[in-house]
Amino acid sequence: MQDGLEAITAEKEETRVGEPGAVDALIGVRAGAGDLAQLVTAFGEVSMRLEATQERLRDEVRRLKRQLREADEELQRSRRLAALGEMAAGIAHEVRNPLGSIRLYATLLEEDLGDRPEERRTAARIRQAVCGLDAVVGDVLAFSREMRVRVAPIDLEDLVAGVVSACRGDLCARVDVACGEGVDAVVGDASLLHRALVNLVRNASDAMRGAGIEDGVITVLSERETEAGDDRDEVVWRCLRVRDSGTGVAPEVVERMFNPFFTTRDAGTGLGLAIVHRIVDAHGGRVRVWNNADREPGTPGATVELRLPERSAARRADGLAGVVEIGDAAKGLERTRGGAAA
Amino acid sequence: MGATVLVVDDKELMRDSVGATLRRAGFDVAAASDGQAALRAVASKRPACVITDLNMPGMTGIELLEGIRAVDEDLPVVLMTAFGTIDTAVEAMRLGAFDYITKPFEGDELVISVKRAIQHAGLLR
Repeated sequence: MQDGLEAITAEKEETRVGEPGAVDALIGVRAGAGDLAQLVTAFGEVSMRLEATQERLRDEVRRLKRQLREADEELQRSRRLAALGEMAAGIAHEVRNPLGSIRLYATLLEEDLGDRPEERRTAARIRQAVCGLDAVVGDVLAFSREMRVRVAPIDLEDLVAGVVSACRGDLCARVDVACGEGVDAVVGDASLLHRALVNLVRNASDAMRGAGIEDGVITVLSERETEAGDDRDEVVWRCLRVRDSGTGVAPEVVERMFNPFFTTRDAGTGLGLAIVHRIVDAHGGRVRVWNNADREPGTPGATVELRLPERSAARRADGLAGVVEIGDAAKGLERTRGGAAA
Repeated sequence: MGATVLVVDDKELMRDSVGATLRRAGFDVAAASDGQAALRAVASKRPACVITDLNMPGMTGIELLEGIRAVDEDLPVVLMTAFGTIDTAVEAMRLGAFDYITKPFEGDELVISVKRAIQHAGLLR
């Protein structure tokens, strides 16, 4: 009988706190000692541990809900941008045809008006206006056209040096690079990521200039983050962040800032950030924006984060360059060419 | 009489403006509004060069190029498009197009491309 009780007690002791039966297990141990005070203390300890476990679980549920909401918002935004892109491509195509004719007719008119300088200047202005419109159409097409991602490892310092060089003369801020440990390279399409970073750096600089900040700092950071994914797989993200020291972004602007033609400035087409979003979509990644003060109270400015999936991208980069078509990122990975399919 | 250039585009304004620019440069111009009409024109009177839009309803510019190549290996074809990508340009050249220009182009760009195409074809003969 005694042997049987000991066996049950030993079995219960193996039951971990927080699991069903844990309370019974400890009560059993203490009751065996016959000390009521110890029993009450043990009960209190177990209750506290259970409370802590419940709190952890509640936190986990909150975190998962937040992740789900963010992923859902991101998906909705990507779908909206894809639909807008299709429409924009159609419009751009229809606009470029008459633009071509206007340009040719304006050139003929300029030639015909050789002896009438005033009218000739008018014809020249028509031709110049066509060039301006064509630049807008070019941006629309860049936003809307099918993007093919050719992934390869890229040195982050080189990438940022190229971005600074491309923006030279346009910036009112210093650009720094800060790489997390072991993340001095990213895997992606060099020319597309160059374009995305140029757009973000210019955008940050313009925002600071618009706010009257002349000595701002833009920092390009790279970090690695691990996140629980579907089927309990871990998703490893390579996060590229462009952080400025400006006045931040108004909450109502955050949701709309990636829409084509949305701009808070007088100049520009409002396509820069929409193109950034398409580029990240094409990599199967995500875009996030936050005000720095939300995470580090008292810190000015905002951060735009490009989250690129490290594992799938690395796998594609292993060997032949991969090609991913924009649209459905998951299908895009399956359509990878060159025998290095993910 | 200059060399004849066949202009193929489903957009009337493009046929007219491209034709006017080429006539101003001294070429004779014939026009077709789709690929089938262009193939008939090539069969009835061979032009010195064909300049065709890429995106047309029915037969595309690439299909027209293939149709021309089936009956005439040397006739130079220049493609024009409002929606150019490197991949399409490469594909067009691989199929035997002489040149590829993106709308809206300058008149000079058009004329130089057509002149080079005709000269090149002349050297081949």
